[in-house]
Order: sequence, then C-alpha cells, then structure tokens
Amino acid sequence: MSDVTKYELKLENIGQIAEAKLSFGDLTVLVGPQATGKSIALQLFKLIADTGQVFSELKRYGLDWSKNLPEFLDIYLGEGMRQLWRESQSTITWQNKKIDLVNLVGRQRRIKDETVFYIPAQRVLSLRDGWPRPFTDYAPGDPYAVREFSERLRLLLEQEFTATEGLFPQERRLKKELRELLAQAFFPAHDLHIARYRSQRRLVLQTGDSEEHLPFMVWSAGQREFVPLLLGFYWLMPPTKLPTRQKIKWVVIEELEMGLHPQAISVTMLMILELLWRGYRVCLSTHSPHVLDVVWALQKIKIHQADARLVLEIFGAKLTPSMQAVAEAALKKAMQVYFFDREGTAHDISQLDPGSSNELESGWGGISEFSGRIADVVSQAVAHGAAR
Amino acid sequence: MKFREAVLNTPALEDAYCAGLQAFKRADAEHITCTSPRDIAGSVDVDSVLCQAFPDKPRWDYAVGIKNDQTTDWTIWIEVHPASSTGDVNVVIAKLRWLKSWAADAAPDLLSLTREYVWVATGSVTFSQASPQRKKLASAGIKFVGNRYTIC
Repeated sequence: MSDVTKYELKLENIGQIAEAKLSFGDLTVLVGPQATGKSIALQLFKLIADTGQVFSELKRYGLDWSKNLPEFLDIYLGEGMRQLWRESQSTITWQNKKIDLVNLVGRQRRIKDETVFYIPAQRVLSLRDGWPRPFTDYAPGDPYAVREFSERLRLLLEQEFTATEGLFPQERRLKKELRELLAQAFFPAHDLHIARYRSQRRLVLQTGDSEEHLPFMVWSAGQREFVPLLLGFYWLMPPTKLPTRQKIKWVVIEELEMGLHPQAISVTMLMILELLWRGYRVCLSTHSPHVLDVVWALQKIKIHQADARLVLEIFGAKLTPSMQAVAEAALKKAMQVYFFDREGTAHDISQLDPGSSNELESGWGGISEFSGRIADVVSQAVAHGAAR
Repeated sequence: MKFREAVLNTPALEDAYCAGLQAFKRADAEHITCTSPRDIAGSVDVDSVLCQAFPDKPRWDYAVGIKNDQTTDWTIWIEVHPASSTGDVNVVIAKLRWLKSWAADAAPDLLSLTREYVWVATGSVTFSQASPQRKKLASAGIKFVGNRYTIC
C-alpha cells in the first residue's frame, strides 16, 4: 500500500529555477528541456535528505569546504555551481520548513544512514576500462553524485562479487522473469562476466563457454549505458530475503532512457516497478515519451480499476504470481509528474491528459508535443491534397 | 467561393445553413472555442440533415465556414466524438471516408473549400500525441485536437 506521507520540497531562485514546488509520490517523474533545473532539484533533494552522510563521505575523502557554502556547492554539485545560489534570494523548503543552507554547511552533522540512492545521468563515466572508478579517481570539481555512485559500484563488485564469475544472468539476482526480459533487451548474444585481464579484473561480454571476451570499449552504446544501471539495480536488490538495501528509502535515476532502444526502456521501466514493489520511492528525470507512456497507462488502469495483468501486458512480461504482485503493487502507488519550463517554474502535469486544453499537459511537457505537431502537419498535407 | 454560397449550392444542405456557430448542438458547442466570431462564415449540422436519408451510414457531424479573404472562405469539417478506445480511431476514419465519398457527388463546392478535418474528443482520451493511433489519423488527414478546438 502506498505510504500516504507527503514529502514536499520547494526551491526558489536557485540557478534556473524560479519556483519549483514538488510533492513527491511513490513515483515522481521530472520532465522539461535541457538545463531547466531538474538535476539540481534532485541533487538538492539528496543533500537535504542525507546531509550527514554526504558530509561524512566528503570528509572521508579529504574534501574540505571550510564551512563555506559556495565552496561546498562547487564540491557537491560540481565546479562552478556556486553561482546557482543567490544570497538572500535562494531558498529551500522541505516539509514546510525552511532550510538554512548557509548554516547547514557550516555545522557538524551527526552521521546518519544514507536514505537516497542516486544514479546520475553521467553513469557511463563510472566504468573505465570495464571496472568502476573509485571516488578518489575523479577530479575534486566532479559532481558528488557521480563520484558516490561510482564508488558504490566499486564496493558492490569488490565486496559481493569477489571471484571471476558470471555477473548477468545470475540466479541469485533479480526475478527470473526480469532476467529473461533484460537478457533479450540487452544481452541477446552474450552474458556479462567478471574476467581477469593480466592482474586486473574487468567486466566483459562473453558467448557461452567461449574464452573470447569483449571488453567494455567494444560493447554497444546501450550496453555501456545499461551496465552501470544494472549494477545500481543489483545494489538496490540484494540477494537476501530483505527486499531493500540497508536504510535506503529513495532511488533517484537521472535520464533512465539514456542510450537505450525503446524496448530496452520498456524493460527498464519494469525494473522501476520492481523497485516500487520492494518499497522504494523512485524519482526519475526523463526526456522519453516511453517513460510517461508507462505512467499514463498505469494511471488509466488504476482509474478504471482494470485487471493488474494489463500492467504486465505493457511490458510483454510473463504472468506469474511474483510478477502479478509487482503489477498489483504498481497500481497502488501514487504518481506525480512535473514539467520544468524555460522560465524556471515547475508545473504539476500528473494527469497527463492527452485531451487537455492545457498544452503543457496534453503534450506531456513538450515530450510528445513534437509528435503531435508532426501529426498535425501530416493531417493538413493529406487533407489539402485530397481537397485539391 | 464563399462558404454560404457553397452550402446553397448543395441541395441536401441548402436549408441547413446557420449563421455563426449556431448549427452546433449545445453539448458539442461546449468543446468549441471561438475568439474571433466575425471570422466565422456560418455552419451546418451535416449529421442531423443527412440522418434521415442515410440512417445507417457513418455520418460526419459539422461543416464550419471560416473567412479567408474577400472572395473565398474555408470549410472546416468537425467531428465531435468520444476517444475512449482506440477503436474510435477506425470509426472516425470510416466517417471521413463516407463524408468524402458523399461530398464528392453531393457537395463538391463545400469539399473544394476544405482546410482541415478535425476530431474533437468528448470524455477522456485514450491515446497520446505520440501514439500510432495519432499517426494513423494524420495519415487519413484528420487533425485530432483533444477535448477542445479553438476554431479561430
């Protein structure tokens, strides 16, 4: 059942954002053109939720901001990002309580457990030569989200996969139905393995029992993009009876669709439903109509109280008791969609009504607007041609 | 040619010409917005006029005239119809086919003024702007506008 607690974040006058009032659902999706503040909003959400853990990680790796907010923003969001914060204008409000960011970065924080697992858009950078880079391998001005994600993958592979072994498919990880769909979408001819090259372990693709390995750089773009995401899913779905990892409550995934074919996006969205079933709350940013197609379909199935099996039909997934449970759980979740416009305002377009007279909503924040315009132009061409 | 003249040249419709958007049934008119009433050259409730002669045919709803210049108007053909299932796409395409075949003989002047064929949806819409259904409509020459159409 959906947790009814509302989580509200309000950002004002921060970088491109003039005002973004976000009420997070079980699944929250942010859409909008490039550089409208979606990623900033999500990274600030992570900072507010995990302040103690972020500070402790940064200090562990020797990063010091001298209790100075601009210095901190350059470390946390990345070099040059200090300019986002405008003194006496920028505000962050979390759960109706104003956060004093200047004071926040100037104080010692009690270390708390991490609650937000952040998968950044630049995730492909986390694998170099087929192995995750450690936190310290990055430049001090690289965003924290990228460095932290990379380090998490490194720990996963070094602590939970200690041998040279098959990484995907693997029986202990993920439901069989999901493994089959992922294999079709991403690894139709190869399995993902950990192999040893001279003294270095690395991820490779391998066909059956063949000794021939395909190293990271010759993988398809989609495979290179997906493998860090897959490892992120492995981290979030431990091979134990516990459905979630440690104290993680939230999962943020930026641009889930990056480099993926629509069929692969579809399977990845099914993985999101698996995360929801496990009890995580998920926040996505996306430019993909397929992601919103899924949200829209889930809402329609829910409103019309249709059979949960229809959810599985969307993905071409097998109807099994465990997948039925995933589908039923998805229909109980609250979903929010926000559009970040060029003027800096975030609009709630959660209804995703294609018949809406509000073009922001019917065009899904510009994501399907172009297709709509194309259809209008073609209909004009056909109608005119016929009349002539 | 002007819209009114084209209607009067159509024996089946000549008595059905209405000024402005008065041909629209009240429920259907709620889906139409007009910010410049002066540019409306009249309207015809095609469906009501033809229902006796063609009771079993998939009839189109309305023809609306829009002023173009001093001597010519446009015809916009408007269908107000649910979009509650993807099957409605086929229904509306069938309506357009029938309209064209009927008008080719019975209303060639109105047909020659055609600017666009518009489907205005009643109720909730079940296909998105990027959907194959939307493309199918476009290929048939139908502009799908959702629940509201701003005519001019």
